[in-house]
Amino acid sequence: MMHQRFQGQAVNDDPALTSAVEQFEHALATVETVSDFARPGHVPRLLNATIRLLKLPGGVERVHGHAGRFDKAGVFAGSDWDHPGRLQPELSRGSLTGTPEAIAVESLSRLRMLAITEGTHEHPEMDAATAREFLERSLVVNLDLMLADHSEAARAAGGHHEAVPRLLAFELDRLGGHSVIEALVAEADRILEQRPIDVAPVRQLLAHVERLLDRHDLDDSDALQRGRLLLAACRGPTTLSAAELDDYVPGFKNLSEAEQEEELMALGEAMNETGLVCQAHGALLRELADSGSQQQLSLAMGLDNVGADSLDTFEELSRVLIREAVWPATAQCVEGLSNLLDRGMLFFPPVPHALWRMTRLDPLPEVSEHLREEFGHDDPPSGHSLLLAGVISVLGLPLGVSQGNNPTCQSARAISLWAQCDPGFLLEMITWAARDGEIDLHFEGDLIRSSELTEGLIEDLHTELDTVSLLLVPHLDKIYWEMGRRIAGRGEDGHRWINPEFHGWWVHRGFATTIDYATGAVIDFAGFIRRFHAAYHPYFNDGGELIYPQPAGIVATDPFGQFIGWHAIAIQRVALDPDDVMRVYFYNPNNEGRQDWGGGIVTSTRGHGEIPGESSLPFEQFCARLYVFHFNERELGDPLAVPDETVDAIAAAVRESWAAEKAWHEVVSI
Amino acid sequence: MIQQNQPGAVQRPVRSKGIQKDPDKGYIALLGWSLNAIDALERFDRRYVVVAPSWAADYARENNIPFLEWDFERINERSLEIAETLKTEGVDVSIPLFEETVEWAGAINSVLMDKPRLHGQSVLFRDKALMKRRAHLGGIRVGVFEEAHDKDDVLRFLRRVNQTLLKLDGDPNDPIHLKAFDQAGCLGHRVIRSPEEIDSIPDTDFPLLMESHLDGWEFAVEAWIHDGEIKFLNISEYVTLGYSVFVPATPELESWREAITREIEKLIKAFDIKFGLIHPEYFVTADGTMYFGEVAYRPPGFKAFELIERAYGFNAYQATALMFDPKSTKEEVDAFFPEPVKDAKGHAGCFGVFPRRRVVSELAFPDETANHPYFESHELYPLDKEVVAEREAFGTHWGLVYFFGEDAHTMRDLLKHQEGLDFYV
Repeated sequence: MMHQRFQGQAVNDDPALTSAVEQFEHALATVETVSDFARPGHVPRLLNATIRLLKLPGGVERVHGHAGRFDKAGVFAGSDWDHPGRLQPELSRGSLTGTPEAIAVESLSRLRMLAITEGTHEHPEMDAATAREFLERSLVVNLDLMLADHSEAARAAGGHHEAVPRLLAFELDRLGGHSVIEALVAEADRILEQRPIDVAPVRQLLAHVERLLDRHDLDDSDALQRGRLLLAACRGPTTLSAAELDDYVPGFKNLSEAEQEEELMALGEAMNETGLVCQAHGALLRELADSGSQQQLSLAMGLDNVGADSLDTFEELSRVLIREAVWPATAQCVEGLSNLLDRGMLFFPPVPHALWRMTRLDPLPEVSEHLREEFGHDDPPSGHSLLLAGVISVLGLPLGVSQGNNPTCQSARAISLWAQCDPGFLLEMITWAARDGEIDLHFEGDLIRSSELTEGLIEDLHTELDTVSLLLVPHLDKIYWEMGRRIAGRGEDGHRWINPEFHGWWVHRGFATTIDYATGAVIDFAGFIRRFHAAYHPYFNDGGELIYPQPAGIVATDPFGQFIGWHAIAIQRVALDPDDVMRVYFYNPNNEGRQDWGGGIVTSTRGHGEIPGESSLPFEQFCARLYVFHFNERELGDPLAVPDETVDAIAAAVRESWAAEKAWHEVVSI
Repeated sequence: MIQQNQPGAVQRPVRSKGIQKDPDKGYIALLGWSLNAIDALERFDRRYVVVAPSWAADYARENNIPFLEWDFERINERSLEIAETLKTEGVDVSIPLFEETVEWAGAINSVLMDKPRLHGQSVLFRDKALMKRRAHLGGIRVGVFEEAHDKDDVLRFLRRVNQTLLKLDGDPNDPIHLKAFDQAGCLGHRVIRSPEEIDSIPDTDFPLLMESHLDGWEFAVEAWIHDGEIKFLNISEYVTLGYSVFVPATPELESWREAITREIEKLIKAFDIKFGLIHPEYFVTADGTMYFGEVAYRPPGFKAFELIERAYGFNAYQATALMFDPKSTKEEVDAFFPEPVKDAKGHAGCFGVFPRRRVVSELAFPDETANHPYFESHELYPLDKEVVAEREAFGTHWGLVYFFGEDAHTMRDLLKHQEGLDFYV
């Protein structure tokens, strides 16, 4: 897949590309020809043509073909980009995530630098080495932009961001180099640490690494070794597993008992270490499900004590799950299965029965077909296997559920929360959706059936999702919208009623918001923050613990602290981190936990006591983006015990950020 | 070298840049300030000077644009002075860029070229009533028209026209069109259907020209004329008058090219035009009858010159300078132009944006427009506060959106489709 993107010069007969190239070349020629004073009138057309071309396959290369002309044409005249020596790689992120015009200028400037690096263009302010240094550094700080962007900011900004991944991938491909590989590997690691269900983006990054390793002769380093290790986890961590897939099982059988044990341990360790599973691993596990010992299965899945006990207690179910779900193509679900066993999920009373039922469930033909189509594989397994593999993954990695590029954070959060604390209910929903083509939920005593609803954001559902989400989100989103419709007119934030009914009884009925529903003004922020402390902060709620994760609403902001939109998350727990800082650990359904929300608020996903998949922030920083939460009215501490300074500091941070342009009403006590 | 901002003195650039100027070719004065026209002349081998009001002086000096300050609003006893100054400077001809400078150019050129009739000719282009009469006398088919000095004149004309059409009481009236005598394009254009609407005409609009309504397909022509002959004729197709235009026209409209050319030749003869650029508007009825609307002796609005350059590759301002320059040779002129329609690389069109809502507060450029492969650029400005959009008569658009693409019908439908979109909300 990724190779095709760069080999694609047979795209000359693509009419969209041909016409975009004509527009670009004409605009560039015009900018080149006109007088200095007339140029500003023509540059917008060039920038628009640039973005259009960059978005098309093969487009970046066509723009790059003219890179030597941009400086002389005066494309950058009068702007910072006219002095490449003064540009700072760290600041390029602002342009690459900015307006279409900013992306276009930055792209032209970078392709010009690439030409300098390659010796096809010269600039008095920048030599080849400096240009290379700039691009490498900039790629490193912007690597995440190379992947399909699922952040709230990107979703709100629209299509022009498509240009950026293509541009960066092109630069990367041309540039190669040590520091870039190092950054790619680190990026892959940081995503894997969060143990997402969908690892396709990581496989994309590693494909870049693989090509760069093949092409460039580089000195060995820790990063390169780590890169090779991650690649090995994808392709096969042992000599035998890395060879032909068809030869693997026969080859394994030919090994001595000791060698077999070593092989199994290598597979289990590579998976536990990286979160990645190779196809051979899937093939072998199938074989072991039929003829292997419990010990062999345990080694192959890298199980811990709890996992081994689970396997021992539910051995037959486990073998059937493998037989029905695990194929070379679905091998990645072994990571889920391993975690499912290690987490003791099978000891939840409804789970084994519900899973037995799933092993016999044949989804509706249209459901099967849909799952197989979206699986993105030439020869996908049956819908039954795909669904079961998806179920295993969600139960094993509940914090790895992602909304993908959909504004369906509510539904993703519901799936994750059910997988964590109500798996029997989740399995019921999945069964209904797969077998009956509908699900139903009750709202204030009324039955709501998804099959009777049409409203929802489903038409443009982006399908880069895990299988369970693919199946459930369309139904859940409709029901969520219907609940929203029913509370319209109550003059209050409807999540007060929707959240407990949508997610489950364990969502507290106590509800606090700081936004006045009618006016959008911030109301009694101090009281809101005091109450949050009294409900969630162990120092102010008599050390009360969160029994069930709770839905909460945060204000999504960009790296400059500017308001983007309202976003649904779940508070998982509040605890001291290893450095004795009180932190809120939360689940973010957009599943890219590392986000810069401005004002120094950068969410962390590791190094502060996070469980894989959790995000965290110091308690006060979390407060500075919180606008809605649920609380247990029976277990509330004293709001007035919270020091004024703490509240004031949080309020000040909020007023500098998302509330900067909102009306602000304090409650005045007399 | 004179460098101060002194009305009546030519400001010359300190350094010359760009293309080499040919001293054997004409020296041209541009009347009015148009950046694209100046840019075109800057890149052309003719010497030039821009004659424009004082507000442009600093910009001209900072950008090394040869400049002569002149206030075109004021016509008084000093008016001959500008002609004398240009003559002393060695200027061969002046080119009007806007409706307001057409008569000035006529007056100036009559001095520069020693052809007193040029001034009289320019007055015909400026006064729509005289223009219609002249066309009528030249045997060109026009609608019924009259001058109005007050509202009573308008009422009488509306009645008479509909009486002529044998309308009975209660039949809907055929509309009449009112146009200011001396304004460009759609400015001051009103359509009147009923006597009640007459009250809404402000007194300041009088005197004006009234015309009967012509049914048919309205289009415009840009014709470059040298030595009395058409050297290049472009047909601009209006999708909706006042909203959108594109060049070259659809094959359906281009099928009338020969008949149109004959009409333009009549016009050239009737107005005794030897050189320059004319921009007439016509209606063609289903049976091929052409009705003359009006003619302007200046570049058209709606950036038609820019569209022509995008479609054909030649610079329409340079073409115009070539036509006006008395030192241009026939060979140079003949070599300049491509072949109409056949040599066009595609169709270039633009759409004039009017806010559709009465109160708007921000620019919301539609994604479907931005993502259309024909879309090239726009010149709409973001708003920073709420604005009540007023739209009097045909008004002035808020900015143009440019398109370019291969297929004429796709272009036409695309431009039409824009009318249903909100660019400001």
